[in-house]
Amino acid sequence: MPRIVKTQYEYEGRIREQITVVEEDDLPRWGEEAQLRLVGRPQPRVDGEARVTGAARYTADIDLPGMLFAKVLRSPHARARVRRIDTSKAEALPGVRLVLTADNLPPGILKKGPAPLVKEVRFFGEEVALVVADEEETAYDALRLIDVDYEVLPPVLTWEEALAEGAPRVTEQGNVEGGQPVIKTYGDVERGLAEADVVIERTYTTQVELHNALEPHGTVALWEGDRLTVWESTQSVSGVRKGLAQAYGLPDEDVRVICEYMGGGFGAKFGPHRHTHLAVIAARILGRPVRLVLDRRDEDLATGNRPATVQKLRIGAKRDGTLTAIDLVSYQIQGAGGTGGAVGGPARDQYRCPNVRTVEYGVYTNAGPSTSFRAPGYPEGAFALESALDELAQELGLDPLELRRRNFTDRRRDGKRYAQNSFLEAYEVGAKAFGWSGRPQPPDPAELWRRRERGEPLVVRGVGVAAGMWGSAGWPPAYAWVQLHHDGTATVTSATQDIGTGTKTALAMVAAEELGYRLDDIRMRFGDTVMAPWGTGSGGSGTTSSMAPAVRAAAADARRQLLQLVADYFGVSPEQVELRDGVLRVQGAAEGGGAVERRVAEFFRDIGPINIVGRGGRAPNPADLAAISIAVHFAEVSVDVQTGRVAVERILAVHESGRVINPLTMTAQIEGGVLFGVGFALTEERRLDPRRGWVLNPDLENYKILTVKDAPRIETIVLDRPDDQLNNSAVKGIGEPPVIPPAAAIANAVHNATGLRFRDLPITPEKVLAALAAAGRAAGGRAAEKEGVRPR
Amino acid sequence: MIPRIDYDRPAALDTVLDVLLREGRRARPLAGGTDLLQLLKDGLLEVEHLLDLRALAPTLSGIAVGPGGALRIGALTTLAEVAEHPLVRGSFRALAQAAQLSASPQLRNMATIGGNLLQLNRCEYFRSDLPCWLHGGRSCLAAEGDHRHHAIFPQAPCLAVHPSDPATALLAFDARVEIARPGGAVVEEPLSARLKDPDPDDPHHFHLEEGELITAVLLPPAEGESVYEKAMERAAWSFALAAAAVRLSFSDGGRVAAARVVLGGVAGRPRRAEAAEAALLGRPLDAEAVAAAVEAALEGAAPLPGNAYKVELAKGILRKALQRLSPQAG
Repeated sequence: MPRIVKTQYEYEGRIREQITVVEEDDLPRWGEEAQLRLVGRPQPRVDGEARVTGAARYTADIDLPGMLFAKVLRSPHARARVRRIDTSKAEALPGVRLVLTADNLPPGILKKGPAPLVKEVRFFGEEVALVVADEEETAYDALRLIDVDYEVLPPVLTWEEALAEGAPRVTEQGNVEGGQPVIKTYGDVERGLAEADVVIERTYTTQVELHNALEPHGTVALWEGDRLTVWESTQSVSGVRKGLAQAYGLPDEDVRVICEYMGGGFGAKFGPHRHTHLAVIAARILGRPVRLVLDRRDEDLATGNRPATVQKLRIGAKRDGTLTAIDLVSYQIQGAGGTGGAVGGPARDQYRCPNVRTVEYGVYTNAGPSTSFRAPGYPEGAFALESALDELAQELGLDPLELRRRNFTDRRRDGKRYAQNSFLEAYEVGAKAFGWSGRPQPPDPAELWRRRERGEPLVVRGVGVAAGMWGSAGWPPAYAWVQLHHDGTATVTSATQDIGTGTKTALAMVAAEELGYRLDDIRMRFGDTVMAPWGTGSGGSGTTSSMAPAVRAAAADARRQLLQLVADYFGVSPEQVELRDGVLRVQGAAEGGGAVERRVAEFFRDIGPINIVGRGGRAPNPADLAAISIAVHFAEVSVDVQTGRVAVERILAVHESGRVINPLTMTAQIEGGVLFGVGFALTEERRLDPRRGWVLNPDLENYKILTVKDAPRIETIVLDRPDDQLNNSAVKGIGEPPVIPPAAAIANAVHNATGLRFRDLPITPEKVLAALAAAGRAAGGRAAEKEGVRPR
Repeated sequence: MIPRIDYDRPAALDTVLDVLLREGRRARPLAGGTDLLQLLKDGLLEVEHLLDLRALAPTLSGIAVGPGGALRIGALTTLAEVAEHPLVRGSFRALAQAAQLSASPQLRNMATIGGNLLQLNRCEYFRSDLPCWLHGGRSCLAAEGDHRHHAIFPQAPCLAVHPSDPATALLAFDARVEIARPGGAVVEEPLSARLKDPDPDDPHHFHLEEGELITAVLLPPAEGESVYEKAMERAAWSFALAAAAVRLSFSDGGRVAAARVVLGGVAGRPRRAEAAEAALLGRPLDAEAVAAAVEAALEGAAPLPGNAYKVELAKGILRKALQRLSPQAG
């Protein structure tokens, strides 16, 4: 029976509380001892063939009769006021059906929320007008015919400018999110710093990173009377449906949201977005379906980003490495009203330390608003914390892993014990597999500079390590239905989605395992809200850890119903019925008391129509425990001293995320996450013109994601450790943890290779050469000084 | 009004030349299209008539060997063919390397050597259609803004660098270009004589008169060993932050008998560093000679604050190139 609970869960570093409906879940946990046939064995993706053959239909592939095409006109200024828009030439272009601006948006369609077109421009690329035309090309052409008269205003571009007295207000709320920083204090950091033998005080900075999912954002909107169907590339079909129902004043049941296949979201696709509303409004006005798929430039200007950070970190420690204080003041530069991540998460929760304070500012500037980006705040926070620990270890003469071992914690900062924290095992296993012990000391960078000047073709190597943690591990509400069909197959239905990570495959495995069916007999009906129970949004690495327990519970419910029918049919008790690989084995059913074996489909053939639907919901997380997924990454880098280019040669990634369902997709998540992390460390950076706030690289030529040639050798070690106090499937998440440690591990390895510490990402040839030159000049200066004081 | 683009695929070179002469800049030849089509989509070039050259491929593509090992590379030869051709890899190694280090495999399969010389610069301001000097603005926006990719040798006012890797290598081989002119005349000129800095009237880095078409790149017989080194922001698919094409031959005594040193990514044209060549001539390629050449090559560099690193980077890339040609390097 459903029941209402008040429950807490951690979402991307923040503790949330909610009242929600959960269902009974008395299933035996899939602990260490569970005997499983499918779960834990590698399975190719159930939709792999559709994806690689092109059979899979993405939002941009949706083509409806009478469909029109829309394109957005974006501001060419970072801060401006629209004085006047002349759309007459665009409207006169043959094939153009509609031109919308903030002035002619019809009132009454969108009932709640801000208008999706603006007159007060707050960032380069903000939405100013919409063209709808018979053809996409016509819409593009019409954009160029719209004449906008802007009053251009000086933009606020840096966090210092934003916080200065009298700075123009980027948002109505001012330039600091919430008007003040979020401050969390545990113990007394000043006392902790006073007690320390060594204090490391450093500032670390990270850049704006763009999501650049392979599939852009997009919407196809179709109105049929007052019923709305929207195809949306989204990480949450349920969330988009809820948002659209509220925005347009519709009952949930009259809104259908579909996202059957998706080419990545990475945090930036939790609509409805402005483009969603534009397509929905245009379709309403025109009475025809409208497709609005963004292009790469749209993506890179206006669909979110990872905010830049400035992190001022003080760490105090005793001579033996015991941490006495961690004090972090962070600024996230979130653009025009964007959201930030929990940058202070790693500082608060990763290590034992009696005195911790995190002061987190969100700062608004005239740039594209930030949004969630794969582990929001954590790669940034870990870059600072894990670099600083490396600096501390150096200062103390301790091995960086030993320093981390000595500060292992078994509980979260709020005192809740981690159900399972595998850091110590990961350090040990990783160090052994990587060959960590005996790494050489870093060289003197001044010596590297001297050798460089002598013309040596010098490439130096180094190794580094960093750790990362992630506390999200699923939550209610998450519901699923498992329906058994007459042909012996079963369908798993939920209004959740597979954003490309392999969710459908993992959850099909869970359903097949629990039902006792073959994997081939499971069909997955995800990515469609119609006739489907609420499924979780794909954020916080929580899809599998939220949905697997629900799918398993629904499968168990269906199985119970089936076994009862079988038992009744044969006149035995349900305990006498076994079901495995789709075959029923009924003890005592044969004449003489033997067993009868029958395929499920054969059994159904004998009994006519059936109505077996199992329902399942996810139980709340345990009240007294916290979850932690862990990652320890070892990096080997080479640095070309002549060109300053850093190459990552090898990453060994050790992970524990609870029970492994599908090792294939789990490894794929780790490898992809490592590549994200390497890009964050070395090449990716959204660049703004320093005076005007124009985005200079909104394309894949100049925004440098890694190429295959930049990819290091990636080795993964997955510790398969069922975390069975958390949920019935003993699973946690893996989507985000692998992006967290690479940047710090790489920066630490670069230090080991060169003796240079890089506290500003990305680590480009420019920065490496500048640092080498500075070291060389400083040494040269010292040498000259010595010569100068020599007596004649 | 939105210009419609007419498309033809002429069967004869004469037809192409006639149309180019008659229509001037409104007509453009289309080869691989890897740059041209993007420029059209982005509205950066106004063209009314595209002349697809693919029907001319039998005469305008391919690599032919001439007297003494000279090469004629047809203008429609792809960068992939240049990179893989055994004769290029043999005597003109730096050119093969430059082609191989250009762009990506897909682009190299389409892009042609002729088109490569006619591509426009990659300045982010110019490409974003921001009101820079090339687009009729008052000043170079990069000079006042982000110029990390821009020139370190003065060439006011536009600071865009020449984008081509092959062009840098070609100068190290004293390459010439074969150009067909209206009326059937064919001229041959040094590539260096045709290179120019972009300006608002003509944003190209290559001077072509109306009615002219590049038909081939000519390489005289090359002595010595050559190498192309390129610094990029990632391992592939990036334009050069700095590049060096070097060709050296040595006397029996191991002294440099002939030298070509060309830097890429540092100026509006590939920059032949004659002072560096002079610093090498007659000396063994030892540390002192390398140091002298590197200093000479970068003499006169006048970077801005945001691209000062390119001076050191160019030095580093030139050192690497010279080191590779050192007899000890094997």
